[in-house]
Amino acid sequence: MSMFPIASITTTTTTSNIVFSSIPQNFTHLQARIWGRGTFNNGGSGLSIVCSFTGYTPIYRHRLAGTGAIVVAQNYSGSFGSVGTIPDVTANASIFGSVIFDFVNYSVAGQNKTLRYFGGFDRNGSGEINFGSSLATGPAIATLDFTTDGSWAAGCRIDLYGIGISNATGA
Amino acid sequence: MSVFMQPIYTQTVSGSSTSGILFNNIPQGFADLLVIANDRSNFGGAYTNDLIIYPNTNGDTLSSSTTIFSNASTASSGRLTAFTGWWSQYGDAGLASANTFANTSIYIPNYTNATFKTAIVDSVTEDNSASNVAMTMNAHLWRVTNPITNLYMSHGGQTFAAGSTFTLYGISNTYDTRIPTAPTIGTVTDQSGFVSVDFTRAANDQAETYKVTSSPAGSTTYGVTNPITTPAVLGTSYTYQVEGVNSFGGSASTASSAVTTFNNYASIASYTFADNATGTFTFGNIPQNYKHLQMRFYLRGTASATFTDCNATLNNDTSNTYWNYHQLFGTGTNIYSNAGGISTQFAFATIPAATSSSALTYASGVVDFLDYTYPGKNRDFRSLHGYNNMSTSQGHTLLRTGLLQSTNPITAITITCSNFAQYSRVALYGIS
Repeated sequence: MSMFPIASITTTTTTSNIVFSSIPQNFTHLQARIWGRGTFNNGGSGLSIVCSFTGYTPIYRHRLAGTGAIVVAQNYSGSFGSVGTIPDVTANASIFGSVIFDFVNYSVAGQNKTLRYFGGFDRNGSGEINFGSSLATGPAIATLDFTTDGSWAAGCRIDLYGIGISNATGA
Repeated sequence: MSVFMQPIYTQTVSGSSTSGILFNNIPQGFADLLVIANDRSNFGGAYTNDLIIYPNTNGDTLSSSTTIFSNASTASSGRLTAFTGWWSQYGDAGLASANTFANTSIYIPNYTNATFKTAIVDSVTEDNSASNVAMTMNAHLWRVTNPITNLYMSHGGQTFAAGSTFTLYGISNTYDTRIPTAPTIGTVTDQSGFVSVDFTRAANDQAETYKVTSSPAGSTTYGVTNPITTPAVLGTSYTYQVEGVNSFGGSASTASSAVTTFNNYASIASYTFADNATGTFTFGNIPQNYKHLQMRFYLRGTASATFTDCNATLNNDTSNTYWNYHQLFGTGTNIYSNAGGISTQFAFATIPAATSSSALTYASGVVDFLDYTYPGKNRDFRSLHGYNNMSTSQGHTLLRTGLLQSTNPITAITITCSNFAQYSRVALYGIS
């Protein structure tokens, strides 16, 4: 596997959208590594991350989550992204969540887009850990617009990577 | 390995007494860290001893975690607070079947950032059974803002099973790390037709190989370990640069100091006396880059005697004191051991002369000047020479030494005699 950094964005102030545009189409997969927190007060529960891209239609989000007390398996319609992976504004200002998004075959126009994610946060007494997926229809992903409930706090960082494949078959 | 993620350290457990794995001096130039662990403890119980990761080998209780755990029959979520580290997984000998190791990924983002430290972990421990497995996912927090400079991992105080492996990776998020960082040039050493080029690679330089080039241009040599030896033309002065290279380009060091290569045993100069009228010859401008000098001679004098002394001065030095010689002298019938005295030269050889019983006999010998450039040592010689004159009364073998009370490096050797016979010959060599 060859994996290359495409771009990295760090917020210096409260930011509503973190946008990667002109994403190269010559990789096979994309991976986003997100280190963030939101400005929305969700009563201490985790915040969603929504990814939008030009021409897409969000379908579903699913997740297997642990809250520290219970395990839940849930679904949410109408968005493309993750659920509960970063802390809300009530968390200590120094606490951020970590989540990895994998966009497989992101540039294949004829395939629906499936996102797989893994991540969460702990805030010393509460927190969430998530393994989930999401579905959208749409063309090749050339732009990714990341939003969260409220806005991104200052100091959030998203790194976008491109992942290649081998031309050899091994057959 | 792509440039996105490169291995920093790997440790593999051997034996059965390792209770902890420490990754120390973690480079601070990456965006994130990742630990891949394939481990197993020697503990015979089950579900009791976990892999714990201690950032900065902390002994505090500032860690907490949120967890999902499944044993393939049930799933649960739990929480640890006021804990001493980052709880990861099970993987005891009493749980997993023989030769089965846990598989764990520990992702630590923003490990140098001045915020609380976090990690997300996914781990599985398999077993040759339907349900006796452990699957965990964790979100971790360590409420400390210091950069993470080391990671310590232990298994609940138990020892790790042999074959357990731990690799620490550094993850980059910028393009500019794709071209290697330039190495630092070190010492270049003459190796007689080759030059050993010493360098120090930059930390996490991402170089796949190192290229050595010379000025003036010569051969280009690639290598992956320090030092790299490259061929050189004898007698040519070179400087060298080492370039860290990968598929995206390279970055070269500054140029080395100059080095000239010589043979291990190389001829410096020689001289043959063309007539019977010359009584002196000087080897001047002697190169200073050898370890020792050796003078080989084949000499006869023209003095009206059966033999005559052949003398030498160093550096045209007439101000410092010479000790003429000490010698062990064999004539074929007797042995003598005696000394000369204070002098203005040394007598490095006694050679046949005009009235010796054989007209065409020359003395042959070897004179060694050791450490001829070394500071703080007086200059001396050792000569082994002799000749045979087809006579029981003429001819001898000598082992002789002499001394000049001067520490100056030898840059010139002058030999003198009344006159040297035609075809006498002397040659000077450098020894590395």
